[in-house]
Amino acid sequence: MSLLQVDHLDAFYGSVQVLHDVSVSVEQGAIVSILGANGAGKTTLLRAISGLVRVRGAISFDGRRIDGNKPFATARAGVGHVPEGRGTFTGLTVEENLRVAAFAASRAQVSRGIDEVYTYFAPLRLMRYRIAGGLSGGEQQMLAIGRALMMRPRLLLLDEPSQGLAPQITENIFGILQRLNAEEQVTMLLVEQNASLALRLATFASVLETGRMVLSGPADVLQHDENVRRAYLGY
Amino acid sequence: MKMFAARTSGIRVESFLQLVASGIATGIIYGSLGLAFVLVFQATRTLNLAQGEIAALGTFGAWTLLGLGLPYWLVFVLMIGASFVGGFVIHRLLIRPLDGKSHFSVIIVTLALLLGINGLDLFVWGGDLNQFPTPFGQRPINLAGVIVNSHDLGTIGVLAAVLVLLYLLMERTSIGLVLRATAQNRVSAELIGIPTDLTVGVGWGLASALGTIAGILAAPVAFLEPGMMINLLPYALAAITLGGLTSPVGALVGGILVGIFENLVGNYVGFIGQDLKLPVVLLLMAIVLLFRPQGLFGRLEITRV
Amino acid sequence: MSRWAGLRAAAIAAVLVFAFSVPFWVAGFFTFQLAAAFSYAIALLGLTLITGRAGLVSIGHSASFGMGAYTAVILIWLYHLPYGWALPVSAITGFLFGAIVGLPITRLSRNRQSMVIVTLALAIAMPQVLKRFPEYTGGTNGVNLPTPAPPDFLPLEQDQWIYLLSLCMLLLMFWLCWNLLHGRVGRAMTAMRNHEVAAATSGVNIALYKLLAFAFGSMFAAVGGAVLVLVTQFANPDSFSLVLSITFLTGGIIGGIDSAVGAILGALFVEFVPVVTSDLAMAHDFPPAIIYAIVLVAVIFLMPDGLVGLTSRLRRRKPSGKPAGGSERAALAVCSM
Repeated sequence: MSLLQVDHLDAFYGSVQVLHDVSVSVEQGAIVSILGANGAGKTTLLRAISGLVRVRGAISFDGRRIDGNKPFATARAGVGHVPEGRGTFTGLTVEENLRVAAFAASRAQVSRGIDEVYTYFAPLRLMRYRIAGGLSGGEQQMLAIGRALMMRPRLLLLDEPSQGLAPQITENIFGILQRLNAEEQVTMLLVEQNASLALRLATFASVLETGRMVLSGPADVLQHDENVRRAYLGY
Repeated sequence: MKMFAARTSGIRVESFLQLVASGIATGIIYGSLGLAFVLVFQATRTLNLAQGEIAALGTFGAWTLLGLGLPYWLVFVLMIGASFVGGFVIHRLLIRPLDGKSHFSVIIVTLALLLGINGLDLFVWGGDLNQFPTPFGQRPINLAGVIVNSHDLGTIGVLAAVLVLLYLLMERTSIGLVLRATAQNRVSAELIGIPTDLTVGVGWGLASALGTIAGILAAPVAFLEPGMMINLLPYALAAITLGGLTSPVGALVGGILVGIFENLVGNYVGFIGQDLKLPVVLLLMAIVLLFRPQGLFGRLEITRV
Repeated sequence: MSRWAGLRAAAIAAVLVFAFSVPFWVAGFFTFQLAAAFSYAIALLGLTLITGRAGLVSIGHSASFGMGAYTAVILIWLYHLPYGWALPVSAITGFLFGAIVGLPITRLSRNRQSMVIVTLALAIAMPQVLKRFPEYTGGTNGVNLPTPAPPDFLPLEQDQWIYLLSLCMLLLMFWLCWNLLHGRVGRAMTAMRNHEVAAATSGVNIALYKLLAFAFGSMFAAVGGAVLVLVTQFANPDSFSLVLSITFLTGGIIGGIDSAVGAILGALFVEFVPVVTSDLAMAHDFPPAIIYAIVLVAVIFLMPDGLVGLTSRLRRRKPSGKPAGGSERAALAVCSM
């Protein structure tokens, strides 16, 4: 049984249908990547899983239906969503950003969690008392991921983590994601425009085009697929 | 503003310091009401035009309880609790269903609240001016040569204490952290497991409680009547404009500045007198906005393309 | 499609015939109220431009309304000019007022709340300023104006003439507003409201259009003010206060803030509904304000787009293959990035 199962999902913004009959399955421990051009509906898919968008169809997490949940309930159930554009609390310090994500936990659990985040994202430790709004894009991305990790999620939803970041920093962050997956068994659903990077990280990938799933398969297979290469990898 | 007029009848000499002192006292009330606005604005990104009326309702409730013979401080605490609940309930019933809808709908609801609560006040308590008791008395006190009203001193003391408590709540507790995070980015807050509906409701509750406190402290001087808060409204709005809608400290400082400015201008600038005092205050506000739209303490919001 | 158009034309014609006939068979007071409502409708047309189309939330509309009203007062009461001058001159002063006041105000328009506060200031200041110059405005107690007499060649009584005059002014203003809304100005404003940054980069001069919206909106309000003064033959500074601005905003939103037709519906609402709820309340010894407040909440919950939403719901019976409308498309564009 997959950790996350999306079946025949339609998603709507108001009366406009943005996703059509989308199905995705994410196995425990896997990294699944959703590729596609701008406007294909990738972000919408993640928002639908988190309950931010009106849907029709079934979304199951850990065997239980979560479509129709309030977003905070889905988050509490173990789905950590790192939104597009980071969404850090720009008026809070780095440490406060991390602490608030574990607001219901005990003091000991919180400091342990924060330490673990700093272990993975070393630069954040140096800036722990800085206001998050003053951080660079890469640092904010680390903070956003770290914040989601504070919830001890079973599944991490990442929305375009490479957006607006220099290649070096992106590589760095993707390396950390790789480690998180290997060492902490964090399952990931990754939405990315940077297809080559995503396919290198992922074990499985799907391609969305104008709200429809058009291709699915193991990442290495997709990496060598003619159409994918021409459309998304540029060669 | 009526408050000033009510007080001058007893005091002969209007020194500069005295004007400043009483300006601080009225200003801190403007600032507190303004702070209530800021709290709601931070929670729901809406200007709750009915904030003053909710405060007035709370003040009337306090007056009734006091009339029943209950001790002042007990009533004070009870009404804080009642207004908190009231604000929370109002949010849940009337504002939460409009989440995601156009902000015009919210404007209408807050206007309807304003009208409705005002009508309720009139219906239940009548339109007369009422005397509201104060535990501090209304005696002049000589403070290093400046004559200050004892109630004003008490007002400053109580509000200062309340604001310190509020500050501690916001900056030093988990609840405060959650409230601040929700105010800054509601979607992100939801995504990390915060039930933002509840949180925003708490914000409304706090704002209502604070408004009631301001009302209870203003009533002894301004006289309790249904229109009381409507008179205060423009001053409170001037306070937050000056201070910046995103800054709680700004609301307070802005309020104090407005209070002082109002007194000085009303007294020293001849042709303005009492009746043009308000437009002048508002003109000041407009000018500040022109040069610094985010107010003295606010932060300019940058739209990322 | 053509069937709907035919029905719509017939309905409009019927309404117009009815409107023109009112003063000839309905009791005087209702005619008077309707004429007053027309003046509000003209003002609300202005609000449709300012708030509905350009997205600037203004509670200072009463100031422009008062501006027009007192232009009429000065012309008629002070200078004894024929009342026909009041309307065009009020339009001009209203436009200028809106342009001048609008300059600083539209600079704040990014921050919706600042606009609310500054326009609030405007609304509060206006009556005070009016009272400050009684030589021009008649001061606190107000002025009475001579009743506008119908032209000799028309066999009408005075109140019939006044009603028809205000109706014709409304129709004229409606036509003007309609053209503004559906012409280049209106479309630019819609683009601006939907996505300001995108509009700016495609060449729309944001500052100019906001100022134009404010100036034109103010013009409409001023004309409305002049009309009201002609209808009531009385002007008092306290009538042009914040309360009036709030009434305007209420009427505008309830009617449908982005619709010229909504302006008319909203004006009728704020003219007649408070009276009805008041009567209802008095009959049961209940505070009228509470009933009115409940009605407001009910309307906005049931019809978030305003009363005009009722009519568009009738028109929405189209096959599901219909392409996304303008605002939906914009939303889609923003969301799918």
